Amino acid sequence: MGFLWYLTIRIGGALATVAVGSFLIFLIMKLAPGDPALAVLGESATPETIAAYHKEFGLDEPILVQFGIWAKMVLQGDLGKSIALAGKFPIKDLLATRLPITLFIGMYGLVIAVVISLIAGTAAALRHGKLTDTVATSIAVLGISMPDFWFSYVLILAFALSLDWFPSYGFTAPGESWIGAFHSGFLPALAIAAPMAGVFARILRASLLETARREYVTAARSYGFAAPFVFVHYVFRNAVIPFVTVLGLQVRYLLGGVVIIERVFGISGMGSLMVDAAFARDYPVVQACALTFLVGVLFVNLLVDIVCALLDPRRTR
Amino acid sequence: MWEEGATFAASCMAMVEKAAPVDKNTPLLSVRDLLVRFKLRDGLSAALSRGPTYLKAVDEVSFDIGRGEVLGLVGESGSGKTTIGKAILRLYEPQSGSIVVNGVDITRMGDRALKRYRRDLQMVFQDPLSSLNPRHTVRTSLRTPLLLHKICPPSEVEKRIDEALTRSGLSPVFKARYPHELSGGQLQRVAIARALTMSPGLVVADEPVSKLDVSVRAQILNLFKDLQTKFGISIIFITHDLRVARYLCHRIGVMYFGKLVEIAPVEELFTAPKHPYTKALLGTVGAEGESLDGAQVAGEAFNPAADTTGCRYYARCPMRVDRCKTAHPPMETIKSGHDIACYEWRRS
Repeated sequence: MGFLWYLTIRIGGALATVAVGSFLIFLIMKLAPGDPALAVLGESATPETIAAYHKEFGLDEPILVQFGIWAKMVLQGDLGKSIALAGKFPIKDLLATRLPITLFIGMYGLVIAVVISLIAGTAAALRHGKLTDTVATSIAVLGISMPDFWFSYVLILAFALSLDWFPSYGFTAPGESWIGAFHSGFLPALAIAAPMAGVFARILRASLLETARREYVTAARSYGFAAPFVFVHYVFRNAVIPFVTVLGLQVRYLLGGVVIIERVFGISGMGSLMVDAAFARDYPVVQACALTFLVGVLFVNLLVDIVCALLDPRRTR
Repeated sequence: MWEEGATFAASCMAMVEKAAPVDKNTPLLSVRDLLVRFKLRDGLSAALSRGPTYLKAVDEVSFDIGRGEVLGLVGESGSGKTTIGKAILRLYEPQSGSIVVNGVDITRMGDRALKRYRRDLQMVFQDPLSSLNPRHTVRTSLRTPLLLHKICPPSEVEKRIDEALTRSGLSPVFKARYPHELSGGQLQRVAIARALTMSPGLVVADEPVSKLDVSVRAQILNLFKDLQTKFGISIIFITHDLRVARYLCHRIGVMYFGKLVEIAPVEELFTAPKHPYTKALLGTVGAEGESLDGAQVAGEAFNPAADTTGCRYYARCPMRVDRCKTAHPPMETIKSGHDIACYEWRRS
């Protein structure tokens, strides 16, 4: 079994998951109480207009047929129209403005988490049992245990209100100014990064220590390879595999975190959109957001699988 | 195969002599008063004592290995066998004592100076799967050390890898495989081939067959025997299995809690053991001679972390006398090649 075969299987699996997942999202939206016709037509709805609306949008068809209609629309790039929000815009346009903001904050947070955890995890493992290790491990536990909304307020209080280094509210989209985006996005990204960095650092530390005990590391040392060479080629590259796997698994928590963090910092991204849409009973928008998150998580997991396969020959042969 | 082996052995010896021209009669390896200790972090004694507590994993051990000799190191787990092996390769820093290879003292040698001696000392590990980098093919695992030590011109590296694999009983087609695609026995052959590419003078084999299936064990043991007879490589064979040691080794050293208590030619050790611990050890494998006396295993074991001064075996020894409590007996030669650390050996 070669790498290409592995890749095909994984992509096929991801597509199948999207199909099943999107059906479940569709089903849950259908099972939710309330008639979209009522939501659209409002108080003035008569049984005739409701029936006409149902006929127009195929709502009187069996559920599988309805799913088929929706899926076909989505595949053609049409996510439908918003019922309540933003003056009945096409949802596609709504996502086009909101998604980049969330992607930016999420990636920013992920990069911060990865950088912090690589440094802290490696330092802790290299100085195992020493003060550095204890300090790094303690900070990691703190990062994991702090609720993200609380930590957000602490950051706002300290760095926005007291020190005035960063804005406390709002976000400059990367489209307007990259520097502004990195500046105004720093606190929310840090709030998202904190728990992830804690988890990643601990995983990396444990994995490095475990790998360093392997006999091939001893063997490499016995040949007199320089310590940095042994660390990079024998310890780190093997130890980083569980780290990458956990990174992929954490991305879905990142999405959950985004919903809260965007609220706290007043950022109009995907998270805020989904919450607003849910309150406004705007089912098509909630549905589209859920689908976007699903595709996002699966895409990242696919990426992680590919990276792991490149790092670890055991996965593909 | 024989001629081929002989030329290979000759080239090994040539390499060895190029590194350090020495008299044939000096031992290949000479270990004197080797002391390796580890700092204890936890445990009650460490918590209660004021200064740092140390565990003497290897406590003033001395022995020689001649060219082409197989020395077995036997003892319970935790007796310091592996630590000796790793200290010889300078994987642990010895506290005191000396390690002399081919007349060159490498005990305090810096990393750079040590590098040219490292190829002469090779190690084969206990767990075959863990002794090869899972991300590297067999070819990469064997090639990287060859390139580091510039053993041969890069154009001949492949040939040398093929040669070493063939000598370890593997087809060169295994070069393209990853460790997880090989069986335990095959992996151990790769590990041995990796050692052979270096044309070593000494191979430290740390329990190389204890994790293998019984059916494969004999094959690997025979491979070691071949390496020794055909290529004249010296081997330190670390094992807890006395039968294995008897089959393969010329001499056997018995370890007890960091101390070498008896070292003797293999048949002499099995037929006329002198140290009470050796006798107890042989008793447990059902060898001929006197059976295990109840008194020999009763009693508390020695606590290596507490710094006691007496004989390590005092608490369990059936022949103990008062002076055994005050100092550990020094090594004494009772016969050519037969050394023992016991005050009371004449009584046995």
